[in-house]
Amino acid sequence: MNISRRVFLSGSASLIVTAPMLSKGFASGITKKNLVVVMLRGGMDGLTAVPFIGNGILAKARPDIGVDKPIKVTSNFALHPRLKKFKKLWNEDKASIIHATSIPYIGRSHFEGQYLMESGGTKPYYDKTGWLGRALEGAGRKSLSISLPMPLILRGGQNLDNFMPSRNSLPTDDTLKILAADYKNDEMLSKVLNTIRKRPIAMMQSKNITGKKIKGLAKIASQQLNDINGPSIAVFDIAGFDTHADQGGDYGQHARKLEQFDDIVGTLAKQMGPSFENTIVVSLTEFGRTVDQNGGSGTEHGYGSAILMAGGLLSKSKIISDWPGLEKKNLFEGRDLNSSIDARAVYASILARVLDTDHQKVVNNAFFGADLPDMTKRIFG
Amino acid sequence: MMTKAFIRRVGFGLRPDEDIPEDPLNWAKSQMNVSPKLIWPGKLYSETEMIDIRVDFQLEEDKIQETEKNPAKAKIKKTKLYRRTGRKYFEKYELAIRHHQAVHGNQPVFERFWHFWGNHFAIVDKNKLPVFNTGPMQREQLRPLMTGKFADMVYDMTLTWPMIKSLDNFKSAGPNSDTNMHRKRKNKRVKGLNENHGRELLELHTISPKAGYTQEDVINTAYIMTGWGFTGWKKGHKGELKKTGYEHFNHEPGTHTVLGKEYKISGFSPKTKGKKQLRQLVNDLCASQSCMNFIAWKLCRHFICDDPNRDMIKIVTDAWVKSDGILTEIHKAVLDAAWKHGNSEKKFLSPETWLIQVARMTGADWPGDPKVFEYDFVSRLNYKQKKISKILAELGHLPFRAKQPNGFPDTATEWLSQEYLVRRIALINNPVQIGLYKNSTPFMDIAKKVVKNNFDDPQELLNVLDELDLKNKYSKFPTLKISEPLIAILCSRKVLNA
Repeated sequence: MNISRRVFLSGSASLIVTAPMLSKGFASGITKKNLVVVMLRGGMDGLTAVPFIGNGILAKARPDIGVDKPIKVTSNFALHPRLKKFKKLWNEDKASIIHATSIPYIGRSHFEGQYLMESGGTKPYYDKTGWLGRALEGAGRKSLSISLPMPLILRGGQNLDNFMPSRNSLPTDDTLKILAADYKNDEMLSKVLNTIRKRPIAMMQSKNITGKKIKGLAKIASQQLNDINGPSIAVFDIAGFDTHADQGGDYGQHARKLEQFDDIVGTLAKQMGPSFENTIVVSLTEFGRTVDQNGGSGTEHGYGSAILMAGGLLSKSKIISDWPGLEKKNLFEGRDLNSSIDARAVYASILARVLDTDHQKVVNNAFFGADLPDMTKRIFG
Repeated sequence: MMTKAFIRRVGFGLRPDEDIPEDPLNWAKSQMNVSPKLIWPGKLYSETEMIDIRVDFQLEEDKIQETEKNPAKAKIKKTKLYRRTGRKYFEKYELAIRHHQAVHGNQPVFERFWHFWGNHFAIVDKNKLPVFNTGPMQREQLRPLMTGKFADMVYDMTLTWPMIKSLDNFKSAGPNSDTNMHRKRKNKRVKGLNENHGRELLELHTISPKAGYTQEDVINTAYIMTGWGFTGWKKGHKGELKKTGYEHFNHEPGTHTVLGKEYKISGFSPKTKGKKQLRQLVNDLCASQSCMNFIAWKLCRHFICDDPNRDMIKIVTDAWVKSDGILTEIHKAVLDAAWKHGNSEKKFLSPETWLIQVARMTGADWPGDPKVFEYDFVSRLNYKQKKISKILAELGHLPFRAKQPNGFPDTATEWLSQEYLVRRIALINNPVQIGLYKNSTPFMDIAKKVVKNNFDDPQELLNVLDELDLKNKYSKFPTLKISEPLIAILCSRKVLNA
């Protein structure tokens, strides 16, 4: 845990990795399936990432921030030009889009929305655990994160750990023992310290990783996910999608943020090699944005957005959507792309596939038994 | 509450040379009466001065980008510009002023409230605001507002330059504003409404979503806010003018309704008839029960415990009602509530608050001699100038760099993770970084003094130190574990939790 940790102290992003509790299962020949969740905070604009080109409504609604050079993938939909690596995977049948989807939250507040996208519940600031943490707990997994905070999405799993490369070094365990004795009546502190003291040496070895910020973190994730005894779940956290002003079209703030997502996907695909075949990367955001541009060449908080998925676990590239349309009468409250697919159903189906368990069990553990359709066939079929 | 525990809970603990106040509650409350002057002996850059520097920097940087096509030469020019305009310097300088005040000032409780309000009105980390604007705004505008009415604080903070910039209100215009009517006549594209600032005024700064407002309320708040943006004719950069103010031609005319109340135009002058709507709205929001409950809850959460109960909150809201929203009285009530309920609760300190406590209680040379922070605007920054931001970044808490307008979190579940704890322990493991030097007072003596000065019941922690003393006597390499007594105390559960 020395000087090299410093490199990864990027302010803009963090990464969380989850390790399986029993590595024996994987070592003895069972395929280790990986899930990478990329949280896009601020409200990712699904209509910028995956513009609807079936008619001229979107172009008319966004004269200053339209995507000028979309990459057409179907007769109705295109990809943002900065999603280059994602497009490459699309060509290999390893990328798909869910469009017009959202968690069931219509309040348009970032902080409520982000709470719910992580907790998986329906009441903001109510559930103290996250859907991913609960799903892993139900699946009997241990969790390890590489980030400064322990994000809500993973809370609720037992034996949580997190990690982020840094430049200072810890004292020896002799000294930590003094603290352990002091913490023994404080449940939270002693849990945290005990995990630190039990950390495997492998966690201290991140010296050969070059590259900065998001790509560097994606490389760490690749290494950890590639380890047959290592974690099988990683979570990235990117903020900055809240573009009320100067959103940009082909270039600009939203494009730059999408490129970060693209870098994660691209780095994972490249670095993971064959194990990317058993992996799925999936995006998560609190809400989409208004169809119309606003006063500052940006967009306001909306409802429906898109989920971007990539990885070898997918068998065919496709747009999965019950497209509600962009005509004024079809918009949510006359302004936002509507949501016709509950995003929780998507995550539940993906989790069921990655954890090799059934959909209903995941729904019960992660999403409080909500009424969510099984989308396995639509996503993986 | 016990005396010394209270001083740590609402302040930063006692310096080695500081006397224990006889009446701690009164000691704390008396700090709320006036906004103390900053003790920083160096230059305090004014907000307008910093906006000038910002404009200078941005125009010049654009020019380099446009005119210098040779990347190597552009880099040299940029480095020069960065140094000349303090691009890498000013945030560190402001942090030093803030920490110097907290560690060496004599109104630590006031400083705690200052930090609280700075985070309540968080300016997000974008557009170089943390570099040039956030610190000076907090010094110059926020501090003096802390002894007045809450409604005045909200109103003035809403209209500060960094707030208008970060929440985009300068880009907003009403659909029927003069600007847009003119544009429509000329067949030009209309300037739309921006809801960002209006929404956060309701959600974060005053009443919170618990008040039950609707999207219509958000839009009407945004209408009321139209016109408030940058003003004046002095050219800034990309639409940023140097002052904030009201431009009637962007204002949405007519009556706007928020939470069932109508906000009408007043007077006849077209230049000012919509101007008062924002002031009235802020007054009403701040006088509402939802606002009182939300702010009182947030203050209690900061100064007492993560999950404050109704009794605590009521002490604060009662004072609010009685004083008609005077912050001096609200702050004193928070201290009353902490005094009354503090003993049975604990509060896990945020990384920055903990760091300041550590520095204050140990008497560390932190953030360093103010002279060290003098800068010639030509040279590279040195280690002593840079370390304050390095350390705060390492701990995960650069106070001017909140990622989102809700600021930094304020509960143990958010601040207590393995990696956050590792960083605190690792920092104390290398105490020279925070100005605790090996060749001055022995660390064991410092640790003992911290415990004796700052704990009502010091025996448990002193026993830990005595054991270490004993162990060291029989160790072959006692010097190897030189930081051990500091870690044992400064990372103990009793210091992490005030």
